[in-house]
Amino acid sequence: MKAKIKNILAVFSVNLPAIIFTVWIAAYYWLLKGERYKAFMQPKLRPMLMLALLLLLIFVMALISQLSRNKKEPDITGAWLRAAILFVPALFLWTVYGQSLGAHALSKKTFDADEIISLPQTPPEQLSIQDSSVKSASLLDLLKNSDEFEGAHVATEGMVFRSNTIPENTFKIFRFVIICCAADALPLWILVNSEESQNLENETWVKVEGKFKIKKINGRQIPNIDAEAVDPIPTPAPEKQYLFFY
Amino acid sequence: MLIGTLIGGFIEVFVPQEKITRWLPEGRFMTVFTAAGLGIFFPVCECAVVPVVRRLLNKGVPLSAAVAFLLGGPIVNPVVAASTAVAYFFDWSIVVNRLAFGYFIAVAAGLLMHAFFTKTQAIRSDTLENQRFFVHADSAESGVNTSLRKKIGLAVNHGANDFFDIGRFLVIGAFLAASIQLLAPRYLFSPIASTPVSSISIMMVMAIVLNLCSEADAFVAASLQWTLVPISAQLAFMILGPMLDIKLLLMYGRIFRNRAIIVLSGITFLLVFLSMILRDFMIK
Repeated sequence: MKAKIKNILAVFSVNLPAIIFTVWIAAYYWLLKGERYKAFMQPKLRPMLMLALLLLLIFVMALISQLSRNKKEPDITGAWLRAAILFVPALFLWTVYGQSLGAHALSKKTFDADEIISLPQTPPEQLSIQDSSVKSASLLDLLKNSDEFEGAHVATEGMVFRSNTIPENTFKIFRFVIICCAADALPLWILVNSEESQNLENETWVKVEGKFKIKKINGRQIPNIDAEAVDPIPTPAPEKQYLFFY
Repeated sequence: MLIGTLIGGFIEVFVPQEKITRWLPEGRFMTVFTAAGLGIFFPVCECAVVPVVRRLLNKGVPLSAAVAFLLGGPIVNPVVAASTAVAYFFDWSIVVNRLAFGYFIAVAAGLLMHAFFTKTQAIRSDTLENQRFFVHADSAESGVNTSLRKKIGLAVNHGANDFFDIGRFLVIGAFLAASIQLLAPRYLFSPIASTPVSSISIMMVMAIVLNLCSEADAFVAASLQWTLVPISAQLAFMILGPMLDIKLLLMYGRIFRNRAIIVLSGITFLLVFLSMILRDFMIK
């Protein structure tokens, strides 16, 4: 009886790769549907995601076509262990969706407290400036083109970050910019000087309007906004929380 | 990695051992010098190169050439050159430094591994045999008389089983890297990063623990351009990362024996460290 169960288990375990890859196909489909992948990775990598889905489909078809009752898995425990580990990323996607990097990641991913991420310039015509009086731009555009925006009245959106080292009437407005995926996300921030924002908690999404300036603080060029208005806004959908480098 | 395992499967079924031997240039040095630069024609990231190298070793590629391709492929390739150029505002000297040092370190590591180990001493016995029982059962089918359709099916099957076998190390490595990224603050690394020796060492440790892809790591390194971290330390980060990090160490475990992994890691770390110290010294 024991030998018979072991035999059935060995035959079934041979199919574990096909089962796990099917789970992965479902996960890739779920990511592609509704552009959920934007909550994890650079949108320009969408073709790679589709290619991965296609390859997994081919893998599953090949595995199914080679199935035979005579094939038995010699290492049943190993196969189940491999399957369990490969199941984790699919499970992770469903559970972590909607939890973007926030204040904790900002404090851990910064090389030094006054770090400024320097980025190549974008041509002015590609900037999303809506009108001449208030220049609405993302944190990425503001920092990439700080010379362009120097002294301008700007509006931008991001999360609030306060710490003990920042004065009470000041906070950092921050977001993460992704190059390939969330693993390489870099924090972007601007110091906001505002009297009205002292009750805002960390990670509250706000829209800040005010004058953009690069100020010299402790010998370093720090981007600042002297805010005229700081308004809380609804938390964007997970796919819209990150900025993308390209 | 999916692409890498698929390519590995096709190599297994479609490329006979004799052909690989015939394609390789004559002489060990030429083979190693060629292998370290193969990434120019076959741009692969560090995750994809592991299953390909595993299959190549199985097909008779010498240890020195396999190590040179394993370490050089993910750096000496056009995709990495382009991403480095963009990250460093098209400062071509950084791109040339990264690719050139990456290439020569891969060559040196390949030759040193050959000097320390024979192939059977360095490579796991199940890598040199065929990895899974499917292959044993079906190896007869990959003969010349098998139909093309059947051969393609077999190649894909090899790829799928390789991915099932090695993929777990990518998952474990990614989990460890994510934990370290969010538990260990990066600013801990920066205050002592002002001298070449300390900054190069620290950036190399960061390269190992952050596990970034070779196509994205230049952007993280470039974010340090205007800090005290010297260019040699930034280069050390970009050269070591695609050769040695936590996920790769786990994946190397499917190719090499433990002693070979320790020696390969030591050699790679030392070569990157010494070459970057030398670069820093020469520039000053």
